[in-house]
Amino acid sequence: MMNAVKYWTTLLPFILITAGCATAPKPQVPLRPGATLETVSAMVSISVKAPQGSTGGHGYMLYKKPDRFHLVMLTPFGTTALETFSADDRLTILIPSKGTAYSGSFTDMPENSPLRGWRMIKLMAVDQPLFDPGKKGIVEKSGEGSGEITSWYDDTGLLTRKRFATGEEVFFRDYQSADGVPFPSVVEFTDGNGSRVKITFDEPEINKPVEDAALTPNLEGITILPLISIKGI
Amino acid sequence: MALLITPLIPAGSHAATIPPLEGLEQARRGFAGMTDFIADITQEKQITLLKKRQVSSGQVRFRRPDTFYMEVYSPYASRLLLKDNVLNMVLPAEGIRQKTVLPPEEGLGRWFALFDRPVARLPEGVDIKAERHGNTIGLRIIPTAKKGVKELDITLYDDGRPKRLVIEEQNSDRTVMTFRRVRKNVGLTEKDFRIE
Repeated sequence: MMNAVKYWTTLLPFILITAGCATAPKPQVPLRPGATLETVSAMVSISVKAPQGSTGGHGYMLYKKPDRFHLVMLTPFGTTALETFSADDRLTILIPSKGTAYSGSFTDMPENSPLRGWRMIKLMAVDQPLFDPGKKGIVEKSGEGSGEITSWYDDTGLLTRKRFATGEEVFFRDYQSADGVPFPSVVEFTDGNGSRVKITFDEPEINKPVEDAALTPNLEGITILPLISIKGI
Repeated sequence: MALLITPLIPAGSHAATIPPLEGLEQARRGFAGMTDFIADITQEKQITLLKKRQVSSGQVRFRRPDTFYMEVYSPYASRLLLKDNVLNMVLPAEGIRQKTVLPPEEGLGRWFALFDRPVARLPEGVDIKAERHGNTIGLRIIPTAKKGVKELDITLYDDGRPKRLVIEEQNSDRTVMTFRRVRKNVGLTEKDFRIE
C-alpha cells in the first residue's frame, strides 16, 4: 500500500500525453498592421514526429519577446510531467518528479532523442510584424549566406511561412485577431530531416504582462545535469 | 441559532482523525475485495501561472492484477493503457501513439500485490495523515522530498471504491479528480482494455 503511494507519485508525472483543440468562433477585431507579439500565454497541444519516434501532449506555454519560453507538459492526470525553459540558445528541461533538470545549448540535445525537434521552438520567436498589408503575396529574402531567411506572405499580408538557410521551416496557420494583434493558432516546424513539431494554441492571451520569474526555472534543490545526457523521455 | 442548525447536520458528517497505519490498513482491506472497477471521472486543473481552470471528463477502468486504463475526452483527448510495466498512450487528434516500457520494478502488478498483505508499518519518505468521515477514509500523503508532488489527498469508500483524488504540486498547481458512478467487480474483460 505505502509503496503503491510512492509508486503513483513517481509515475503520474512520468506520463506524457493528450492533444487536440476545438476553438469556438470569437468576434474578431480587425488586424492592426505592424502589431507585434510581445507576450503569449496559452494552453497548448503539441505533437513531435521524428524519425526517432513520436511524442506529444498538452500543457501550457508562456512566451516573451524576443526569445524566452516556458513550456509545461502535463500528464493525463493533470500533473506536471516536464517543464522546458529556453532563452537565446539555452534550453533547460526540468522533470519535477525526479528533482532533475537538464541544461545546455539547443545543439546539445542528443541525436537519438525524439525531443531533438524541440530546438525548433526557438524559430517561433519572430521579430517582425506578422501582418503587413504592404507585403501582400510577396516572397521576401533577408540576411545573407547561412543567415538567409525567406518569408512568404499571403494575399492579405499575413506571414505564413519562413525558411531558413539551415533547411528549417516554420509555418503559421489559422490566424486569429487578439485585440487586433495577429496570432497564428497553429505553428508548425520542420527541420528538413524528417522532424516535425506542431503546436496548437488554445485560449491565447496576447501581450498581457508575463513576469520574468514565470520564465525562469526554479532550480533550488534540483540536480542539474548536462542536456546531452537526457534520455528516456 | 445553534440549536436550530445542529439537528440539520448529519451525525456522520464530522471527520475523525485516526492513526495513519489504521487508515492505510482500512483502505487496503477495502481495496483487497475488489477485482475490478470502472468509473467516470471529472478532472479539474488549476493552473497558477495562467490563472486558469481547466475541466476535463473521462473514464477509468482497473482490473487485477495489473491493468489500468484511462480515457480523457475532447477537447484534450487522450487514452492511456498501463499493463504491468508497458505503457501505451494515444493522442487521437494528433495521430500520436507512444509505447513506453517502464522498469520492471515499476510494474503495476508488483505494486498492487502489496495490497494483499496487511500494512505493518508506515512507508518511508512520506508523512501520512488519516481520517474517517462517515463511510469514507481520507488519506493525506505528504512526500518529504520537495519534488513534483507536494501533497496527495485520496478519499476512498469503505469498500475500496475511489471517491476523490487531489494532487497539489510544488509549483502551486492543483488537480482534483472526482470519481462518479463507480462500479466494482463488474467483470471487466480484456476487451475493456483496448486502446484502439
